[in-house]
Amino acid sequence: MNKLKISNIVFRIINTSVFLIITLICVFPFYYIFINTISNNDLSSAGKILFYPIGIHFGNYIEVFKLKGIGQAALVSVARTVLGTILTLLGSSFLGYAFCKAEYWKRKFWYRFVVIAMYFNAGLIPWFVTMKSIGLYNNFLAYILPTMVVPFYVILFKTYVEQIPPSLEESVQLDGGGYFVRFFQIILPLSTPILATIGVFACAGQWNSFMDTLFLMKSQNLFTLQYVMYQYLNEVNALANLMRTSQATNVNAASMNLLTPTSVRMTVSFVVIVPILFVYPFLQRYFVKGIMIGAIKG
Amino acid sequence: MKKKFYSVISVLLSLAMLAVMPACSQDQGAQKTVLQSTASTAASVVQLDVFSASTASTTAAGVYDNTWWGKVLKEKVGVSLNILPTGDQAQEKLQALMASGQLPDIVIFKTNKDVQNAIRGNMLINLDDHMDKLPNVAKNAATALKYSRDYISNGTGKAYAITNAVGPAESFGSEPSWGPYLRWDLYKKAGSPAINTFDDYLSVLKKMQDAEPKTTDGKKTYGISLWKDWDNYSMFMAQELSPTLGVDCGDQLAQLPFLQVDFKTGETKNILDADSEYIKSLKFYYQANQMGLVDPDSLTQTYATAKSKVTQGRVFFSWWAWLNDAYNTPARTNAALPTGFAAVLPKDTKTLVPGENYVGKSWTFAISSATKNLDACLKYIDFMYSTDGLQTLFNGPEGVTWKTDSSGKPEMTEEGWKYVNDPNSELPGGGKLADGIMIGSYGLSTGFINPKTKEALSYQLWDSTKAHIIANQTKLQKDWSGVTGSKTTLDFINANKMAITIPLAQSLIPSMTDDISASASRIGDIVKSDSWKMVFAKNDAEFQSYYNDMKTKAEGLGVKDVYNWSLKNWDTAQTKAKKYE
Repeated sequence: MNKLKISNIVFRIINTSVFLIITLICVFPFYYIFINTISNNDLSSAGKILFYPIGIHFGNYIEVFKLKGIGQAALVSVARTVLGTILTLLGSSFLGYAFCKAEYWKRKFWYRFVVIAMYFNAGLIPWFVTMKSIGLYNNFLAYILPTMVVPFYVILFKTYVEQIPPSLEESVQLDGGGYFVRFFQIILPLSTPILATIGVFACAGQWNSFMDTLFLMKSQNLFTLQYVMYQYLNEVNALANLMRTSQATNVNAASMNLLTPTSVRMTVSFVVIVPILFVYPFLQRYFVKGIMIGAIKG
Repeated sequence: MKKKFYSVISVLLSLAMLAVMPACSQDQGAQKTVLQSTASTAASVVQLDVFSASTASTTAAGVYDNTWWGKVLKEKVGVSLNILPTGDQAQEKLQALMASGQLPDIVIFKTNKDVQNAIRGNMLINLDDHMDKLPNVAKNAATALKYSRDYISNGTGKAYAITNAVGPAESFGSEPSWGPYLRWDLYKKAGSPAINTFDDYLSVLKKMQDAEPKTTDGKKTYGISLWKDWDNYSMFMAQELSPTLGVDCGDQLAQLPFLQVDFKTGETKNILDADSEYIKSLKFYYQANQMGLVDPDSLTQTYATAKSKVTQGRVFFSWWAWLNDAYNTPARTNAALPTGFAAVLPKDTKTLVPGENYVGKSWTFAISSATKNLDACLKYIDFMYSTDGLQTLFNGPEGVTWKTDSSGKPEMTEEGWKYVNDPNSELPGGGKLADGIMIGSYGLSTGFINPKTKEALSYQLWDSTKAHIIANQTKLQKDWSGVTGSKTTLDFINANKMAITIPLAQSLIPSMTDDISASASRIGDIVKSDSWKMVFAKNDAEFQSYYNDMKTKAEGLGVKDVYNWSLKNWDTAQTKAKKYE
């Protein structure tokens, strides 16, 4: 009895400390970035800020929020993340569901046709030419349409649906429910864990993407937040580069004194990470596996 | 079941709100301006899409109607530029655009190879057909046009692209590109010993370090602080000695890997030869390190860290005037006992200064054959080669930042100097002073003489500017002038005949092929790592053994081929240059 108690306490201590360390390891990078963004820029670029901020100021954030067109860019980013994720969820899950159906015409061929795109990629130029020829150049739809069917998500969803007992669907089929009824009323509600997983992936993917802006957009109303940040970082790097290539006679060093590439990189990282950090906790409850025990009798 | 679906959506939407909220106040302004700009564009202003391959400039994508220079372009040219996103992927984006068969209205190419490819694909307008609409180009850039027909026309003999920055030497202001500079106050404390050759700096720096071993707040000081993150094909900091001796060692001015060219004599050399300027400067740093002058952080620190040490007063030696600015704040240079960096040049200095270049730089302006606004494009290009146009873009709007006096000479106004001294301040109408040449390319050089004023285009080269600089000398500069007898460093260099003009050939070097650049960076990795080891070697034997290692390995990787390639390109460039000098 006594022995058990001691081992219990020891277990608790070790358990708690291990998890505390793990939590710290997870949280520390974000904390580190944050204290670096609010510390003196010279110190942060010298790598002197490790555990607590020194010379606190918010100049870095003020500079970021003064960036040209940042409001519009934030809107575009949010719109593409929300719409893009919804479309990805709908498109990829329905296709995954369809691939489970044996009666699908040439199912194996189509399935492989989709999956092959996961391994082989034509490269930048064919992609650009294709997008341009189907009218997605300088078009908001270029952000959300191409990601509707992502082979990886299709596979994830298909595998998940395959382990849902077919009898559940059959019961609805007997009542006269078609594919759409079965999909929306039986399959989707039972697949929330995998939908949440795909949702988080898709959301982060949409939010973080800037290459499509870089190559496909020309109107600044369509720039995304990530792109504006990327451009800002580039500007600061370019200034540093000007110095390097000895063309600095036109550049006044004073314009370099306020910001350092390090401080800008850190601030930009923090600004773009924070919103997406909120997504996971909200979706977390859907990760609990749907309860199917006792759904079928006999 | 449906409930769950809706709650997912509501979560996503609330997330959307969350992200939009902080942006709201900013956003209204942005949207309003977008509306305004489209409204006025509709009237008579044509919007042109501009692709610029310049990654060295601070080009940011977007429309700049709400800047002073955007307004100048609107009023004087009737165009509004929409700069396409390129980021650091300009070359990739250009390839993609070319593959799609259509280029944006105005294209600024970085290499002549790209121009020729575009001509082959019929993607550019033949400018020779429209010369009547390009009077300023014909008048001010005739040599550049001829060069374009000869070398960047894909054999057609027609001008499709016009080179940039045509004309006399690019601007300098009062300081040369390379010094070196020492902490003047400490140099005087050390007894201002004469510097005859470069090696004399070592003992001077030692004395300076002894005079001030620690800063006032107790931090250790160093004669020299180096950094690693700017290295290219060789150790960057070791390339900086040669330009003060009239020599280019291949990496910092043009792309001639491992070739050293002496502009005084025309002599060429492999930078890995034992008597090259590159190895000499490694030796210089090595000796400095032996004397305890080199910052031990040099191996690991970045430019930003090293710069912050300069700011704190922990470094006494600087190669460039722009680095001095980190330390030379008015509070220091105008103090009762002024401290700060000033030029202390060896007697044998031959510093490189840019020369006339009527052929222009390798960047070029071209017009896409797919453009629907050919006239506007032509008008814009002509503006970029007009003296009046560029005088405004370089210096800001006339009457605000600068004016001409009764004799027709240009001078900066009080307000103008305000924007020069605080480069982050915004002009009326929006945008900083330096933003006028934001796309990174301009037709005529800043030194081009405006026939109206008989002075250079950029304020940096005006007589009035020089007078202003001299009138506003800091205490430190006055002290320096008293000792040297010259008003500015450049005056000193000219008075002592210490300048060597960079020959035209230097800007006519063809760009590297992919093979050569890959092979150069492989060899460069060896050269860089051994160079740093040489600087921090423990003794002469170790220094020598790292040198031997570098040479053997580089030869094994075929440095000879790269060197021969550089040599061949240098010859080509010289032949070309003869035609246009």
